[in-house]
Amino acid sequence: MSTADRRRLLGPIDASPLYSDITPKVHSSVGEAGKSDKEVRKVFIKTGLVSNASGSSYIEASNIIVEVSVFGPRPIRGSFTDRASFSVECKFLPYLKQPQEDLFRGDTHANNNGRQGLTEVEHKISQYVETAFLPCIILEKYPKSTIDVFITVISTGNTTAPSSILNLTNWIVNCSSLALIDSGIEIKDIVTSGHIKYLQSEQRLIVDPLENEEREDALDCLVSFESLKNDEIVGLWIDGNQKLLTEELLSKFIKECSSMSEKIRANFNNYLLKLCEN
Amino acid sequence: MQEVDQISFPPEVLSRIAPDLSLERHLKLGLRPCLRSFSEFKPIAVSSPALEDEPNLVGSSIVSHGQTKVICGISIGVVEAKNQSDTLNQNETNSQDSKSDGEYDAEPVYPVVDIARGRTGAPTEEEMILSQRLYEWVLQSKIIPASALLTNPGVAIANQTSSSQGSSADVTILYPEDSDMPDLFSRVKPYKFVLYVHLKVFGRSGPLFDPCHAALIGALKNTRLPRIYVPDSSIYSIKIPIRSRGNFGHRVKETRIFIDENQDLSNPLQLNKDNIGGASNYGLYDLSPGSTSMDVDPNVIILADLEGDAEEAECMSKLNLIYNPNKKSINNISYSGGGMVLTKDTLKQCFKLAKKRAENTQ
Repeated sequence: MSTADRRRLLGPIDASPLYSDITPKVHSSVGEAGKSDKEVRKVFIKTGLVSNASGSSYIEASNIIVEVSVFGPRPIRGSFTDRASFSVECKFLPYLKQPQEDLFRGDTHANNNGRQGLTEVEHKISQYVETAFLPCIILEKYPKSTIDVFITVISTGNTTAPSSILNLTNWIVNCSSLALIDSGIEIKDIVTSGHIKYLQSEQRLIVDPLENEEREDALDCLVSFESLKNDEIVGLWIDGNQKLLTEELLSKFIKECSSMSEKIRANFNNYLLKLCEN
Repeated sequence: MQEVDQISFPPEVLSRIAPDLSLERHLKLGLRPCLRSFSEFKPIAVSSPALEDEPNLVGSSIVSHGQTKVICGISIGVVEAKNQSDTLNQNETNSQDSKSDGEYDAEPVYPVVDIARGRTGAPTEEEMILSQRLYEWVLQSKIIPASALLTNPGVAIANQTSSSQGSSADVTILYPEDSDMPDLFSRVKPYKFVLYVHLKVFGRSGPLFDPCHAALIGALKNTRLPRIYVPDSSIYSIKIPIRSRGNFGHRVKETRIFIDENQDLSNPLQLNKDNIGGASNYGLYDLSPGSTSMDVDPNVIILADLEGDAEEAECMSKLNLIYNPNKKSINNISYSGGGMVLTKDTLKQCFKLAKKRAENTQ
């Protein structure tokens, strides 16, 4: 880099980054091994941890840790707008490994702390969350303001396979829902989502998969729903070998994702009711 | 003339529209807006999470300080060790270092503080100042001796008897200390680790130096430095075209350096733990702003661990101390903001509090 970042302490310019082992290791997933294919993993959720945000939530789903803060509605400068603008920014902590990391780290500084802007993956996730939540927030209620969602991925559980990003996004969407509720911003419905993995060779359908190794015959599907509105789909993301995808499979996927999403929704309802009681 | 009605506000409204008045009234009652007593600190807890499976992450900690949470992660890079003689006599100088205190070279860390505040963009002044102060503290207190960061990389060699493909299972990594092939290591340069610290702050509610300082120490204490290795040319070497002035398409061979992910080979970072202190901050508040006398003012209140906008804005003079319980000395003083006469008594009182705090949180 020709222009040094003078606002951050990034260390010697001639430092070189370190690469992980040549010999790839098989990472066994920490946490609930032996979860059956149909089960959704157990998660830890907590809302309202960040005191200076309008709303926040924190989720631990085995080794995925995500924090979401909602700021807003905040006034904007300039001319009047009749509805709020909504933005989502998802950022991984800089030392976390990301898919295709070599591509964006290639010629930059060894120190990732100075990374500016979003990476490809962060952009994708931000966009997905933004599209999923746009229909549910009543933006007309907040003229001339912005609502900003900031997502911090604290741990990915070493999920560098692109398909595992879907699982991460699934928990991010669910977590963001809770943060929005915590903020008290008016919404039409709670968005929840489900993720399934389909292995063609074994004809196996795994709900909320823990293992996320790359496979040729795998299809991953993430679907987000607004369940009050007749299970309307607000987000859909399919990854993997798309040649395998048929109409029949897709409807099966959506059905499975919907039932996972309902389970999560039921749990959230429970959690929120308990909050009200206390 | 119409009479003006007196308006009264509930406390939480008053604290927003007139923070100065609200704070003054609280203090006159002997209370603080956060309901702590004047010399009472916020609870601080340091924990070290198991953020596994991140090869680049060598140390981490989470600090909760009242409502504030700091997540600290230390990652690494390497530079070629400049001073050859240092590396060769590493073991001898190491033992001398610990004896003659203050005679060794210290290494810094490179902190970047990131306060979650719902905005994007360039770092704020506060973030930059915090990073710089942490950097200076590590360097000045000499907690990381230069020798602690030096490392001699190993060499990964492919097993000759195996197939020419060189599949991953046939790679062995040899280290200089347990190998009798000095030739192999003759062209491998010694390296020095560079420690990058990232501090993410959630829920800021007061000055942040203390929790960041605690998080940095917590993370440094559980830092484990892995072994690194360079692959033998038979396995891995890439040529990348680089563009330079007047020479287009010139190729340079890059040696990549790898982390040995074998946890058994990693070593804890050797810190000079005697030099680690505990930080605490104080705000000075003058209850009688009218008086301009230079005498000892009994109305100066020392508020430990400032919290909330009112306290931060109204205590113009702020004092930050680092007390080292091992050496029983004040390590670092920073005093900012004017308007107050810092008397000997006030300072003494702060020192006492700092000592107590550092000993309690150790």
